[in-house]
Amino acid sequence: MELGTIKNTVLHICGWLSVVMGLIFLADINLSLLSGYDGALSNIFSSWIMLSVVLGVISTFNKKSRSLGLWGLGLSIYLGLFMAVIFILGWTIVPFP
Amino acid sequence: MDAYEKLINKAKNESEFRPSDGPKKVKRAINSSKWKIILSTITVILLIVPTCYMLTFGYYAFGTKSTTLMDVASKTLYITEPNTTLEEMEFDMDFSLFSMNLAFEQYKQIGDDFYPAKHYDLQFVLNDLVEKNEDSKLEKVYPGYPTQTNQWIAHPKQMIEFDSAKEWRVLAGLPEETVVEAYISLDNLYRVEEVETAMENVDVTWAAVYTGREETMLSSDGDVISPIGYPVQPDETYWSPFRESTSHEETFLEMLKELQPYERIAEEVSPHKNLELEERIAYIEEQGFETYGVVVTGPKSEIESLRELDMVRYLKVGEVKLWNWAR
Repeated sequence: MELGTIKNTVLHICGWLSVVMGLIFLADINLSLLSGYDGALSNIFSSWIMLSVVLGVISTFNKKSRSLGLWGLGLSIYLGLFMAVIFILGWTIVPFP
Repeated sequence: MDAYEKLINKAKNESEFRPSDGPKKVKRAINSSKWKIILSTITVILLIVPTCYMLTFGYYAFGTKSTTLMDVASKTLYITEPNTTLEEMEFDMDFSLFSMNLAFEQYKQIGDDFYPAKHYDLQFVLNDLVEKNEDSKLEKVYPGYPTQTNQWIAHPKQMIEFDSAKEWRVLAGLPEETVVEAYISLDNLYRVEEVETAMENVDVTWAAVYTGREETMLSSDGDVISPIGYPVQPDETYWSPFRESTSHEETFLEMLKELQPYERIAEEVSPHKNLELEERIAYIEEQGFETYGVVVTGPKSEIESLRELDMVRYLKVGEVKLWNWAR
């Protein structure tokens, strides 16, 4: 296989992985919000999101996989925003320790 | 044939025998597009709940604040439920999609101790109270839906529905080793300090404030109103609006003014339905604070001795507990 094809395939896989990781975490958040219990992934939030961001950024280097990378990055940014909003506003609206 | 033509022919022959990868590429592209559509649909679906949660948190932080709803609920109960107090750490808040659940415990002073009176469970959708559950631990439950004459504390010109003579007999029959909570209607309007001085051997825990409408218990619009009043004893509970209050009367008036913009919620929270705060605030500001009835607690014998006071008109026995009066 040519080097260019290998590069394309790897970047595509990175993009898909970034999107799927974001979706898995989003599904975990949905589950915890609807059930009222802590999600299974809440303890590894930062490393999970960082990995998703890195994979997303890598896949944006190629024009063909850029859309996947941006999709994964968008999901990661949304998850980060969600966590920040819930933490900061949660601290505001519940006045107890 | 020169070397160049040979090379070209060789390449042409090779390409003729190589299986075409066109359909494979098309299949892969279709597959990729199919997955993109599936995953983008899943993305949109999975974004709905977290986004709604963020909007919910935003509403309770910047719209009608969760702390405001909590304050309205607690202040309403302080002024409409005689002889009750709330504990800060007993408040439990839960948020779900566009709604908030508020649960807390209410206490009553009987004798020297505080006992759980009711457990409240309030469900708000945004700022609308949609469900209220009360789990009462009381043996004597104060009338929830007021009529003109079913109150346990009555204005001097107002009639009562219970038999006060029977209540005095019930009180007399209680063992000496008990402490009693009693609702006392007075024969006139008094300053709370006067009542406290006259009833020095018991704790005056709550005083009903005269707001100009209690002779008939009807507002100027003809709606049945509920008695309102304030806790008289010093309250050092961190959460209490009366903590470090130099004048409970002024704190009470302030609370009424704070509740006025949220009167609809307050009326939903309170078991007593009509507060008519506007005209009652105006009356208190003009005429000052006078009481027509109080809630007292203390040893049975001391409560019984209140019968000798001229100012006592009616008595209704509330909760009774075993002796805990350590003074």
